[in-house]
Amino acid sequence: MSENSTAPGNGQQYWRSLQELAGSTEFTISVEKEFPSGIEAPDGLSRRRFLQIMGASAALATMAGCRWPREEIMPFAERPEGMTPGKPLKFATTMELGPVALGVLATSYDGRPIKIDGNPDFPLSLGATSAFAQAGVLDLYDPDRSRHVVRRGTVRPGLMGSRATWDDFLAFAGGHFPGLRGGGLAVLTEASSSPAVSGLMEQVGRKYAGAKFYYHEPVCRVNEIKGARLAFGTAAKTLLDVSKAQVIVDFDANILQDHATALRNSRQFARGRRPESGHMNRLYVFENTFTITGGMADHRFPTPATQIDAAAWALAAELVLGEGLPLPLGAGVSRAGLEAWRGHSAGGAHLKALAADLMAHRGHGLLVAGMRQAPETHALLHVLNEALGNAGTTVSYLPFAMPSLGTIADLAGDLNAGRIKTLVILGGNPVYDAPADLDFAAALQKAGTRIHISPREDATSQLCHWHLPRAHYLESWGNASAWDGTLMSVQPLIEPLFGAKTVTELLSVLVDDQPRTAHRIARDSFHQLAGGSGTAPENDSRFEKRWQAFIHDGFLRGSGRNGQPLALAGAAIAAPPAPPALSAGNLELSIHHDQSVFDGRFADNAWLQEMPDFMTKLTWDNAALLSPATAEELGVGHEDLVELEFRGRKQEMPVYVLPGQAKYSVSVLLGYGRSDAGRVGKGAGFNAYNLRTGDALHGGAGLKVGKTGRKYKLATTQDHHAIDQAGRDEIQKRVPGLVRQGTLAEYTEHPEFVDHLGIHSPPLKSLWKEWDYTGYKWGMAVDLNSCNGCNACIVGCQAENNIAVVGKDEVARGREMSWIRLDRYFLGDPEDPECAQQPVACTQCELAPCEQVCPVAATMHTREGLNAMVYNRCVGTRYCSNNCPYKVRRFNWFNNFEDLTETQRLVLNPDVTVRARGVMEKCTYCVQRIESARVAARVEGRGIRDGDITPACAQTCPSEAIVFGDLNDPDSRVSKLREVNRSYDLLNYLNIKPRTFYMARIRNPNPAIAPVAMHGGDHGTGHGQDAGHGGGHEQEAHGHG
Amino acid sequence: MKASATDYLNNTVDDPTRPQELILGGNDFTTITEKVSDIVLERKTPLAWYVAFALTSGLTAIMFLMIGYLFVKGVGVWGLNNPVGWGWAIVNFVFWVGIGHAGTLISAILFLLRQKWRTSINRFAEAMTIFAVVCAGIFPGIHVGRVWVVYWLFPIPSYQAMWPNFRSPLLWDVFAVGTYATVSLLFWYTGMVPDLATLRDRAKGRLQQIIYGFFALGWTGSHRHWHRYEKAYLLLAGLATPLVLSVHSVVSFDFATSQIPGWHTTIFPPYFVAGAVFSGFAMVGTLLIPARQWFGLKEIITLHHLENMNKIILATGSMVGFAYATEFFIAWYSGNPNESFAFINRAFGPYAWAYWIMVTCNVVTPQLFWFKKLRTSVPVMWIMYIFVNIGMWFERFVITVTSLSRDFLPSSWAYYRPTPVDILTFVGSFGLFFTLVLLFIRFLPMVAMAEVKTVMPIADAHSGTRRSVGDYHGDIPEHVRRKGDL
Repeated sequence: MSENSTAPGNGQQYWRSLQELAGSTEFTISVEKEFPSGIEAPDGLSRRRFLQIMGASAALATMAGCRWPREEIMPFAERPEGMTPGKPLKFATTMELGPVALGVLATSYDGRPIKIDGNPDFPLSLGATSAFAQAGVLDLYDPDRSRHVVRRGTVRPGLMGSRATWDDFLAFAGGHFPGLRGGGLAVLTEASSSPAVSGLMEQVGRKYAGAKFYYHEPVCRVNEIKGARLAFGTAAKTLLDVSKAQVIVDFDANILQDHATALRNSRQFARGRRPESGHMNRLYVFENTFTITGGMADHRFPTPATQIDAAAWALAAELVLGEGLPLPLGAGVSRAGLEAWRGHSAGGAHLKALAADLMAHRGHGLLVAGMRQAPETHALLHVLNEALGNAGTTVSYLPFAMPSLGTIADLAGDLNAGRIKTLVILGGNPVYDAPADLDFAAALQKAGTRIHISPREDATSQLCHWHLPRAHYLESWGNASAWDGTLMSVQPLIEPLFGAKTVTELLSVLVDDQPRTAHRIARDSFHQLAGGSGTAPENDSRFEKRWQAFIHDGFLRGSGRNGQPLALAGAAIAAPPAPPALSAGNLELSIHHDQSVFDGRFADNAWLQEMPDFMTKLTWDNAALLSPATAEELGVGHEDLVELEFRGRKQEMPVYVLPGQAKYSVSVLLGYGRSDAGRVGKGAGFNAYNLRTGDALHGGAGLKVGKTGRKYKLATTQDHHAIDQAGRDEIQKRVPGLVRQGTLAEYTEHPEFVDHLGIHSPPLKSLWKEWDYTGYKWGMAVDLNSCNGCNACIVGCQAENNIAVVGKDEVARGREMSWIRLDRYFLGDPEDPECAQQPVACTQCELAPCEQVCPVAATMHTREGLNAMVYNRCVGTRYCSNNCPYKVRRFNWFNNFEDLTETQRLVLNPDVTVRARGVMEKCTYCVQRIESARVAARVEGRGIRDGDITPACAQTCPSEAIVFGDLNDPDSRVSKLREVNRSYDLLNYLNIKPRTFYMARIRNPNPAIAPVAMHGGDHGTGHGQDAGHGGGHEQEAHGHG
Repeated sequence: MKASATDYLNNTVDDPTRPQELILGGNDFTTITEKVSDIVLERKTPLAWYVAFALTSGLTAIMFLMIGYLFVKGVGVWGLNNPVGWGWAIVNFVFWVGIGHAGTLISAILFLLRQKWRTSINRFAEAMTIFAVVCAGIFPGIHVGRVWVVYWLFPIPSYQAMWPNFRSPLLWDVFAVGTYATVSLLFWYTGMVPDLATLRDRAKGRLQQIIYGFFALGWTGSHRHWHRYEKAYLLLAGLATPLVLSVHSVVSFDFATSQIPGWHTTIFPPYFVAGAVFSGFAMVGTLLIPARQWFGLKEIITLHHLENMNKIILATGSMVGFAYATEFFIAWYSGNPNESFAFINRAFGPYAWAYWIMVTCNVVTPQLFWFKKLRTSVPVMWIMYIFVNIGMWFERFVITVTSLSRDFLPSSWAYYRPTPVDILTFVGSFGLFFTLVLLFIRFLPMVAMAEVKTVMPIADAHSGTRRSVGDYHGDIPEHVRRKGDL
C-alpha cells in the first residue's frame, strides 16, 4: 500500500478500504465479461468458481468505487500495486443485528472474508465484538444459502418452487407492481437502522397510495422506546455511560450483553472495576435466570420475571418513602401511588440497603430495565434516574422519530380481512417466529402475491410466490445507523456468492423506473444524508473524497450524537398489576432470546450452535431452565422431557436444572426447533415460539409442567454427567483456589490475600538450571474481575484458528474442540449461588508436563516460551493431554473437516494449519499473529512493540480481560499486570510455571447486605497456615515474575 | 471316578520321610514322552478342538474387523473423550502385559531358585506369556491417532532426521515390551528345542518331520548339545529375570511419572509387578486346569503344582491388597488434597462400582486360599482364577480411567463409557489369545518333557531306580535307535 492513499490518514494504516487501493493503482484496464453474470453454482461452489470470484473480487477492488456493479472479471496478468497475494487486508463495514449496528473490520484473504473483528475507532464497540459478530462470517459460507431465485406458481406445503433468475423477477415486477399503485401493497420489514432502507420505504409509501408498512422483530426493544416516550413525551433511545456509574441496578436489562451498547458497557464496566487503581463500582441485578450481567453482580437477586416490574416499584417506594428522595417535577408517579409498593415482597430483603446505596451515590448511580420489562417500568426508572441526579451523567437520551409501522398482529388482521393483495417481506422469518396465536402461516396465504427476500429458503419463503436470495452483509453495499446515530457504512468484501441481492435493491425495483444497484443506492443515500451540496455525486469531487473516507472508516466521523437529559413530561405512569402468586401448580413462563442462535436467525451457524451457553454450557439445544428447588418440587430432573403447557399451548422440552434460576420460574429460549433449518440447525432444540403469544411475548404466569416419562439427552461441555456428592463437595472445596476471589474489604485489608488461597506447597525449586528466556517471553493475563463470560473469545478463536465443529453427539462425548473454554462454577446455595467464570486455554507452561511425555517430541518449547505443537510430527498417543493438568489439549478423534463442503472451506484461515485426523491441537497464543508481527517489525527494522500482537481472544474481548505481551519487557501491559498483587498462577503448586496468569476477582458487596461466603472455610485454613508457608507464597505465586 | 482311583493324584500332603513326588502315577521317561507327544502326533484331534478353534478364530476375526473400522474412521470410534485420553486400549494393554508375567517368572526366576515343581507348568506358562504379549502388543500400536506413522515411536532413522523423545515413558515402554517379548520368545523356543527334537523323531508324516526337524535345529541329544543348551538356558534365565521386574515397572512409569493424581505415585513399580504376577498365575491356572483335565495330564501337572501356584496367588494378591491400602494411606498422609480426592473418588465416586469389583476380586476372595481345602479344590481354584482375571482387568481400568476422569480442574471432569467397538476389540483379543493357545496345544508339546524328566525319581542318581546314564532320551523309538546314532 502506497503512502499517497486517497483516504485521510488516521493512524490506522493496517486496514483500509478497497477504495484506498483503487486510488493508488494504475491497473484500470477494463476487460470484457468473461463469465456469465449470474453466479450460479447448483452443486456447491466449485474451486474454479471460487477462484473466479476471488479474482473478480480482488480485481474489482481496483475499480474506483464500482466493484460489483460492473462485475468485471479479470486475471492478474500483472499484480496490481498494493495488492500482495497472501497478505490479508482489512475493510471496515457494519453488521446489523436487529436495530443495532456494529462497526467491524473484516479481514479479507485473497478476496475472501475470513474473520470479523471490532472496529477500534467505532465509539460504541471500541474494537470489541460479540460472539454473533464473530460468527457472522460463517453465515456467508452457509452451504444451505439460496443459490437462485425461486418462483412458485401455486403454494402447497412441500411443493418445490421452480428455479428462476433475478431477471425473471424483474420482468414479473415490471408488470405486477404498477397495478398496486391504487392500494393493496404491504411491506413487512424486520428491524433495520439503515437510512437507505427507510428512505426507500418512504419512497414506496409515496409511490404506492395506501401501501401499508409493518414491522416484526421477535427480539424487540420497543418497550425501551415506549418507556422513554411515556416519561418524556418523546420517543428516545437511552444511552448509558457505565464508566461514570458507581452503583448500578439492573432490572433484567443484561447491560453487558443484551443492551444496545453492550460492548461499550462491558468495557466501561470492567474499567470501573480495577481495585488496584481505586475504581470499584457495584452492581445489583434483579433477574429470573442467569445472564452474564447477573454473573458479574455483586448482589444478584433471583426474582421471577413477573415480579421484576414490582421489584422496581418497590425500590422506587423505598427510595421515595424510605429514603425521602424528592420526586422531580413531572414525575408521573406520586408518593401516594408508591405507598402500596413499599416493602413489596418482590423487592426482596435488601431493598433498604440498596436504596441507601443509591442515595449515597446520587449522580453516580444507574438504574436500567431490560427489553422484557413494561414501558411503565422504564419510565419509572427514568424518573428515578432524574430524581437521583443520574440523568446527564450515567444516563442520557437521544430523541428520535419513531416510524409508525404496524405490528405483525396488525398485519395478520389485515391479511385475514383480505386488505392486502401483495405482501413484500424484507427479511425475517415470521412464519417461524410470529406469535403463535396469530397463525401467521395461514394468514400469510391470504395475500394474493407474496415476495420474500431472505438468505435461505425458510418456512416463510416456502409459502411465498417469490423467494429472492438475500445478500450477506459482507456482500452488500448499504448503510446503517448506530445506537448513538452514527452513520455507518456497509461495504462488500466479496461479490455475492450466489447472485444474492440486498433489501435496498428489492425496494429499488418497487420505486425506481430503472432499478439501481445497492452500491448506487448506498452512495445516493450517503449523498443525501451527508453530501452537503446539491450537486449530483458524479459531479462533486469533494463528495467522492468524503464518500471514500466514509467507506474507509466504516462510519461517518462526528455523526454520532451525544445524549442529553430530557425533561420529564408528567404523564401518569401506571403501576404494574400485582404480580401473580407463583407455585408449583402456577409456574411462570419466561421467554428469552438465546445467546447462541439469537431469535433463530443463527440456527444454521455451526459455530454458534456449538458455542456453549455461558451458564448452562449447553450446545446444540435449548431446554426449560428450572431451579433445583422447583425441579424437586415438581419431581422432574435433569434431561427429563416435560410438556410445558401455557395458556392452552403445549411444547415438549427437556429440563435443565440451573442453580440460581428464580423459584417457580421456567425460562425457555427462542430460536431452536426450526424445522425449516438447513443441515446445521435441523433437529437442534425445541421451538419455544409455540408457547409465545401476542399478549405474552415474554411469558407470564400460568405455566404447567407435565411429565412425559421420557428422557432427552443434552450435550454440555461441562458437567457431562450428574455429579455425585463426593464430587460436589470437592468442587466446592477446590474452586476457591482455582477462581480466586475476595471482597473489596478483604483486598484492602490483605492486598496479598490471593497468594493465600489454593493449595499450599513448600517452596518450589528446580533440580536443574532452567532455560533462560533472554528474547521475547510471551505471556498472557486474564482478569477474572473483567471477564463476564460472554463467549466472544471462544468464537473469535474458532474463526481465527480453524477450529472444527464436531456436532452434538461428539460434544456429548466430551470431544468439543474449542481451544479456549469458559469454566463456570457455582458456589454456595443452589437457589442463589455465586457464579465464577474462568477462561482457560493452554497456559504455555515453562515446564510443560505435556512435552516430556510425548514419545515423538511433537510438542516442544520455543525459545520464546511457547509450548508449540508440531502437527505433522504428532502420532496421537494423547499422552500429552492426559498429563495436562488444565486439560486444554484437544484431539482430532475423526477427520473433522471431511464433511465440509467446498463453500464451507472458504472460511478457513490460510495462516493456520487445518489439523488432520489423529493429531492433538491446542491454543498457540495465535502464533501466526506473533510471526506476522515479527515480519512487520523486521521489515521496519525494529523489535516487536507491546500491542503489535493481539491474539484473537484478546482482540474480541469486550471487557479487555485478556492482555497479551512480552513478560521480559518491563513496560508491557502484561508485565505490569504481572506485578499487580491480584495476579496468580493457576495450579501454581505443580511448579509448571504457566505463562498465562490470572487476576483475582474482587467483589464489592454492600457491607449492609451480608455477603455470600465465597471462600469461608478454606480461606480460614489458609490463614492458619500462613506462618509456616510464608516463604513459599512468594515463590509459588510469582515464581517467574 | 472313584475316590480310590484319584487318591494317588493328591500329592499335596508333604511326607518328610520321602522326597517330594512331583510326577505321579508311576510314570517313567517313556510314558511321559508318550503322554505329551501323543497329544500332538498320535491322538486324533478332538471335535471339541475344532469347535473351540472356530469360535476363537471367529472372535479374532471380529477383533481385526474392529481394528479395520478403527483405522478407517479414527480413534473416535472408541469411547474416549477429552479428559479420558486413554481407555480400554491401554487398560487391555496393561492387562495383557501383566498376564505375560507368569511365564517368565516361572521359567526364569523359579528356575534360578531351583524350584523343581516349575517344570510341569513352565512350557505352558511361557507359551501363554508369548501369546499375552502378542495381544498386548496390538493395543499400543492401534491406539495412536495416526496409525500409519506409528513407526515413529521406534528409534529408526527417518527423513525427519529426528529421534524419538527419550524422556517419554511411552518410549521406554516400546523398549521394555519389545525386549521382553524378544527374550521371552527366545527363552521359550530355546527350552523347546529338545522336545521339538523328540517330536521330530516320533513324527511319522513327512511334513511334520521336516517342520519339527527344521525348528529342532539339528538337535541330537549329544552331551555337547546338552551342555550348550543348559548354559544357554541358564543365561537366558538370568537375562529374563530382571525383565520380569523391569517390564511392568516400566509400564507403570507410564502412569507414575505423569502428574495426574492417582497416577503419580512411587508405589507403582512394585505394585504393578506384584499385580502382574498375580494375574499371570491366575491366567496360567485358568488354562491349565481344563488342559490337564482334557489331555490326561493330571499325573504330570499335579495338584501339588496347582497348590503352589495358589500360594503364589495368595501372596501376590495380599501384596496387591497391601498396595491398595498404602495408596490410601499416602493419599491421606501426604496432605495433598488432589491426591486424597483421587482416592476418595475411586472408592466413592462414579466409578465406585469398578473399584469395589477390583477390591473384591483381588483382595477379598484370594484370602480363601489360606484354607488348604479350598486351595486344593480344583473347581474352587478355577473360579478364583476367573475372579482374579476380572479383578486385575478392573484394577487397570480403575487406575487408568478414574484418575483421568477427574483430575485438577473440575470443569473438565467427565465420565467415560466404552463403545461396542471397545468391547468387541477386547473380546476379540481373547479370541486371538485362545486361538494361539489352541494352536499351541495342537502343534507343540505343552509340557516340557525333557525338563520334567529331570525332576522324576528316575533321574535321581540316589533314587535307586534304574536309569539310562547320561541320557534322558531313554525312550528313543526303535527305528531311530537302529540308525545307530547313539
